[in-house]
Amino acid sequence: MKFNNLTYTMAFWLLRFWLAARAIGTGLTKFQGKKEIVTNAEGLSADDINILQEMATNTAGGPPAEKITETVQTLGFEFYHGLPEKGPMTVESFSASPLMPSFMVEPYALVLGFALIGLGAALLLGICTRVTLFLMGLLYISLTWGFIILEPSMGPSAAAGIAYLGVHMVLIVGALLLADYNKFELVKCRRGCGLSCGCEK
Amino acid sequence: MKTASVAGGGLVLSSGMLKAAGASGKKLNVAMVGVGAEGRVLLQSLLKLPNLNFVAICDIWKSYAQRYAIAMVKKTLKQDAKGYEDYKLLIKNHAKDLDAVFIATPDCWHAPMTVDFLEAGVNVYCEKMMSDTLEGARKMVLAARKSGKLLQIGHQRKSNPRYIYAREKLLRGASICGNIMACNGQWNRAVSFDLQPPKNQKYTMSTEELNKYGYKNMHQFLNWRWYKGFGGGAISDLGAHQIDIFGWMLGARPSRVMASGSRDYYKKPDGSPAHDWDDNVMCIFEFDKTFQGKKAQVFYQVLTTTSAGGGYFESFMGDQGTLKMSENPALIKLFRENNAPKWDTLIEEGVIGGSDASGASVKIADSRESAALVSYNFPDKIPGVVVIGKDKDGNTVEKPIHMYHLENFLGAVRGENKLNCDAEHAYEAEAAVFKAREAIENGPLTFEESDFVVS
Repeated sequence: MKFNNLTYTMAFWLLRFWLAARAIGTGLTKFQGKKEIVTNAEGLSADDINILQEMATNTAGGPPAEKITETVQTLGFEFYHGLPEKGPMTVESFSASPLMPSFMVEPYALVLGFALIGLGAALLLGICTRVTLFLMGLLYISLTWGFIILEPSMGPSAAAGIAYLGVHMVLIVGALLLADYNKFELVKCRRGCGLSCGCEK
Repeated sequence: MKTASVAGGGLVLSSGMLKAAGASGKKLNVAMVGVGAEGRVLLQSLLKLPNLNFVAICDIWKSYAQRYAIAMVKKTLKQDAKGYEDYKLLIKNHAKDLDAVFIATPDCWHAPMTVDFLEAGVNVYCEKMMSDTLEGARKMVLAARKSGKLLQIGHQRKSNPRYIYAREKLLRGASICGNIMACNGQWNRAVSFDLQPPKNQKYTMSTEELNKYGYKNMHQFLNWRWYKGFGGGAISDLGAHQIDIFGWMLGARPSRVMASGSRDYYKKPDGSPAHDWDDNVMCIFEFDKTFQGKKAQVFYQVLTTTSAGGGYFESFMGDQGTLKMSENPALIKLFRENNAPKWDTLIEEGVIGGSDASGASVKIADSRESAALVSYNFPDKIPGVVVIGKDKDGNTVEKPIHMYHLENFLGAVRGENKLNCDAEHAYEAEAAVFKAREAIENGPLTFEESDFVVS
């Protein structure tokens, strides 16, 4: 069976966009958090809001008054958490592992969300695509390593995570193999940029 | 009828609520006096009802309760209610425009406030107890009679569709209990300690402000229910609701009462009782002639030291069955005596719901025992019960229990219906509670040690 170049290009784009969406989406969830907002607050003064909040949480003379806030999911730098805040994969869990230098855990958590979004955006826009795919592969290897070192304590769910990231790796390798057919790149890496990435053909 | 010209806020209600609330009714100008714990319960229901214009809010705790209520009215209805510390000033400035006032202050203020509002031509919804004295309650009845205005007392069970169904359809229509010979009621609450003022000092009232209204300090102000001269203790705060229901369901007034109270749990550091009123009360009311022409005995207890025993309910116990009522629908049950006629027809006709035999599996240990009984539920649909939505777990949420009684009052103000608990009838429960309290002081016969020893 023979395929023409357009087929290969479309196959690459699908991989490129899927991997970009995956990385950006995962990165954004690390900036996601819950916030309490006062509902229907138009026309209320700061004092009004203060007393409504006070009475909803700390009522003297009886049960708490009616709740006047609602919890909303939102994005913000203040909610950033590179690693989960609860569960088996926290900063504390990794720091406790003898297979992970503890001084690296916090810096890793600090950059992980930004790295996922940055690499995903670079892949989406087409910025040094081969290098970006390669770096993304390294990032997924680092995530895989996390599952590997916690497998003794996590059990089957860690093994599932490893397999799950393995699928990502297969997709990245597939994308690299098809990278020759890439079109529409914002920034092409050229010979002399210090990396012999081949995209200059 | 005085009607408001101010447009209402964007309150979203289900169609069922609107229909039940009489959405076609004219807009009423209303005010609230007293926005403590009970006042807030009323306010939360009132804010969900259509066609109300909040003209004023009165509470002596300006920085806290009053401010909260004004902010809630503004937030919910986008109306600017004027704040007052002195209810007499509120009457002076607004009585001519007011259709109704809701009073939920400490009991000692009910009578003077109610009388003043009625005399100023304002219909009154007043929380129970009517007053901290029987004389105060009497003045309220007389003021209502003289003014011709409406006075509803907050015995909200009398507007609860389940209680109305129980009284009319089950006890009277189906005679489901047969001959009611006894009743048993209780409100058992776990130990709870006195209320404390807000941690934030800016919300505390000064001693001068408190003294002006007769309170010694914030503690007495917040815990007025336990002090003579302000409230009536557990037998009036909790018991009055249920004692009222016994008389209403039985269609009679009690003939005699005996009672016992105890103040041996809540103590001051010096070991003396912490409160003026009893922690726990047990009493027996005797009714000489119920609606069935029979005698009936009613045992009632209110405990503030133990919650076990099934919470709060009123049971009507007959020779053919027992009806156990509660404001909590989950506690409502019916029990058919094993020698009574079957209730299959009542189930088929939807008068009662299905049976639950799980409680009947208790084995008899002695031949003198009666076999455990199968319990029955109310039907799923009771006329008048309004479901307003579902909670996050998917359970149906009904209209708040106080809302039915508030709607009944507002309907009466609009001329659409009669009051379910006017002052004349509420006074009967008032008299019963005051007499029970008197029985605690004077009633019991005292045993002597010699009574038990053969000498």
